[in-house]
Amino acid sequence: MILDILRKNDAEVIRHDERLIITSVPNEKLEEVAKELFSANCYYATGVGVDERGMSQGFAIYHIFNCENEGKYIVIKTFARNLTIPSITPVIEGANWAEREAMDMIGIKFDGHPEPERLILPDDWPEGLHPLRKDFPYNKRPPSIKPKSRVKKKDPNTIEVPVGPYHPALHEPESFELYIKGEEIVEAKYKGFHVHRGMEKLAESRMTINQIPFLAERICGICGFTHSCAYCQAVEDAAKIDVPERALYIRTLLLEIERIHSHLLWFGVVFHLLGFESGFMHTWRIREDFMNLAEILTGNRKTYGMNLIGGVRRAIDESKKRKVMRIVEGSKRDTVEIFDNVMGMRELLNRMENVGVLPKKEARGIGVVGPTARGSGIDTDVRIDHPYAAYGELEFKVPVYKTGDVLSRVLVRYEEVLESFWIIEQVLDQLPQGDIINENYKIPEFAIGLGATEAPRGEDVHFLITERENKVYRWHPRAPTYNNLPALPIMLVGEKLADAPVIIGSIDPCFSCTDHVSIIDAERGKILWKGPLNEGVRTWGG
Amino acid sequence: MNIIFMAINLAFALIIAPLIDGFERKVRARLQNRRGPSIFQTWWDLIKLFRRPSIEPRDSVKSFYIMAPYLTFTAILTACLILPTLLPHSLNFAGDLIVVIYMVSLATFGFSIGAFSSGNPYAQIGSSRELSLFMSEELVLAFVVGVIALISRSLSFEHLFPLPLRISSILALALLFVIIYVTSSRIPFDIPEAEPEIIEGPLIEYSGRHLALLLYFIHLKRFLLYGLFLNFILPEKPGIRIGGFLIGLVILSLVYSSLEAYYGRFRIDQAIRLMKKLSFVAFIVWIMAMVGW
Amino acid sequence: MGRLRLIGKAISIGRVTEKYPFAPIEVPEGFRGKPVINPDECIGCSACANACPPQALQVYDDLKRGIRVIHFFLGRCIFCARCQDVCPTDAIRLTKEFELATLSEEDLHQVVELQMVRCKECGRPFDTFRHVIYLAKELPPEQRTMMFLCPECRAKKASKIISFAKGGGKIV
Repeated sequence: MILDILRKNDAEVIRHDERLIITSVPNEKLEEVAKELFSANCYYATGVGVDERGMSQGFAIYHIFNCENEGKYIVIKTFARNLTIPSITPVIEGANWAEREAMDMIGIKFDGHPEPERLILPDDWPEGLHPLRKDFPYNKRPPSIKPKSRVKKKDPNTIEVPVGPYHPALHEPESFELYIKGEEIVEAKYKGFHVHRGMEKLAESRMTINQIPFLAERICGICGFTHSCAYCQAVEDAAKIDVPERALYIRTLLLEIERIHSHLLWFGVVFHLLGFESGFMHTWRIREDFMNLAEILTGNRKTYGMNLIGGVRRAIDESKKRKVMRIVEGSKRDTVEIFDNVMGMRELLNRMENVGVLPKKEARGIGVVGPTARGSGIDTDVRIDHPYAAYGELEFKVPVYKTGDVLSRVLVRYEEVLESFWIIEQVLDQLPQGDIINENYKIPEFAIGLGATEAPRGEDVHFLITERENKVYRWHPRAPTYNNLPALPIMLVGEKLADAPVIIGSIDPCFSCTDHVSIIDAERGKILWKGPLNEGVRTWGG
Repeated sequence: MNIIFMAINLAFALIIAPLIDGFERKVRARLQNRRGPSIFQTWWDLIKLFRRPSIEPRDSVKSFYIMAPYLTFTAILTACLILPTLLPHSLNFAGDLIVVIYMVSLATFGFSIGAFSSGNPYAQIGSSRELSLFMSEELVLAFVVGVIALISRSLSFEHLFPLPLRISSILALALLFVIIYVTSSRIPFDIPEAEPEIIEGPLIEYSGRHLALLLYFIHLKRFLLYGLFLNFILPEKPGIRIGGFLIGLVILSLVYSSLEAYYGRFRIDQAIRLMKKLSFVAFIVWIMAMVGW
Repeated sequence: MGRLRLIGKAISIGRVTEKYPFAPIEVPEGFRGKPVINPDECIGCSACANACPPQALQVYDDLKRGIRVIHFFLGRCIFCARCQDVCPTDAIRLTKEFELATLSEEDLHQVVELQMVRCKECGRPFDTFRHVIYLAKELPPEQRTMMFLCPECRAKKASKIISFAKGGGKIV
């Protein structure tokens, strides 16, 4: 089916196996291919702009589609002609941000894009400088220019309420402009990308392939392990590395521990947003056990630091296994008890039912992922659709709710927590013996790899092109919130201002994950060379 | 002599009101598996704030903005002089119940005026919520006062306390219990302040001394409303009354803070709908009092 | 009713918060805390600096003094324990210490200085004594003659030996 679409449009298939198709599509056929793939139930995962002057000719964009039905990812590569590529945003709304990001960072123009404005670069960044191009030094700090002043039309009937960049309901700097009439929201605008960390550039210019898992882990403070997992999977995919089965099971175990802790954290936040502080304390009390558990297994409460390419770093012995069993059993009972009682509290349910509805059709068009999608009746889960780690050998259900409101997202996450307990029990039962890492591999040059995991917030995609000498040529992580955020204006409009925090909270937004992809981190470079000892400095790994 | 007793009442109110808040924080912490701060913490917070300078935002209407905390605080102090609390002595005059209610309303009004003049959208939303909640609970309060006036055939505290035991008087007290909870803006009725939604609404721009006055006002208001409720049920004998008053304070704050710890916040429209239902109940109680039940 | 049950649950469980920092907190075995270099064990091979993701560990040669400096800056450390993994002599270990706030920046640095060997031919310092000796254990005896030569001189000498052998003992 997919191959038919590709063949019909003169696509050249570069790689084709059971989980990934990489093709090259001519410039003028791109829109047609995108349209047909979208109607064949492949939703848009992300797009990556690449400065390919170092490996072939000019600039290219890689559009990545997730075909759940066939269990495959499709990477569609298109070269820019005169730095221009036809935009697919008119066909697939979800491509909007990815194309604008490539426009900012690489400098590709998208023909026919409905709003070709800056997304990531700040207003005072000079025109014509594209930080992710290969000829842009990582420590360059261009002078800032005077930003164009935007004239705002003021509607006397509405009040503009800024939510963010600093707001107690958002735990990260991100801003929403809400326009309200009385208490009702009539318009919502999102302004993001305040937290630029320049991770892609840092990884491409300064780090080696086995150091990046630790950088990837720091994309997110809550679901970092799933990022380092996705990165390692991308490298393992590109270099065709076999990972020992024991390592895969250990990864699965930690991924599920992370999911439980992340969801419990989120429940606490939602209860706090609804004013129910005791609920917050109850869920965080249960979560604390899982933080301690992670500390026992990995040596740290968060940022587990367990992943390396080819496997994991610490094994799990019998005594640790028993500890996990004990904690999981106790926490399962506790979670069920707390939730059954909380779900009987009428005033909480009233605040969540029919609030912030995201209809299925809109959700598909934007390409929302994770519990946000599953709350809107879309049955998608990377663990089932594209089995990774040990998920292919385990048994579990994926909860799906149809109503699309805040409550359905809560219920999806609640059932997922229960499934995660069950997965952990299975993993411990079936944990195979053997090696935990395979260090016998060679990284090929300019090989493309794709790693996808189901983070607690949704599908997490890492795209990677390798380079010689254990380096990466291009690494593009896409966090789930990147796909979920554009759905917020749809959920917010028409609701009451009082519900805005819980609606924003309901997608479990992780802003710094979304923003990691950006400007150069010039400051880090500076600190490194400080001090009188800088003569004779040898750069290691650079 | 009366003046001295009133001064003692006032001093007691000023000292104990933040301590009650400290105690409630401790209770809530206990119900949330926490340790909680020392019960003097509210006092330390207030002392710290009183030492800090206040800032007026550029967009504010300065005169109103600065006047509001003082107006609010003075109004609540006046109410403390009129209502008997620890000792059964007060400025007695005909219709002083109405004056107390009027003073509390004036304080709330001052609170909202200050917020409106701060020029902050959050404060404006907060104070408009405050006012609409206030309006909706006012109707219930009016019926409750009506019932009390009918039962004791007076509107002055001298003749009101304690309330004779009748079905309507018990129901009226139950309604009063609810209204006190709502008026003291506790979860689920802390809608005007709602920290995660509108960032403490009316208080958002206030700082230093002015913020301290407003916070002090909130604590005093809660204490005063406790006192009002206790007056209706305590016997008149001086010795028993003082002990009963203190025990009553502890019990009330224990009950109120436990309720607060295990509720989620209402949306303003939900709260108003609830108050409408309550005012209907209050109306029925009033009719019961009319027919002499 | 659920509400009451939750209250009962909270009361029956009691306090769960720790009295930290007024009471100490235990961390489990294998905790990744502050890394400490044991200067007696370190051989200056710079494997740790190669592996360190945030480049908190740096190794550079002070050629004038003939000293190799292993400079660890705690402020950049991410506590990943990669250095501990790759260290051939177990000289760098992650301790259980995690209370790292300090008022002086000096507490964040650990500097280990190791004496270097000067090349017998050109006199340039090229490696630490300890590393050379560590490597010598692995070397076959016939190569040990060149162990005090810097890599460049060693390459030159080796090619000389090879051409000497090719030329049948005569210098071509």
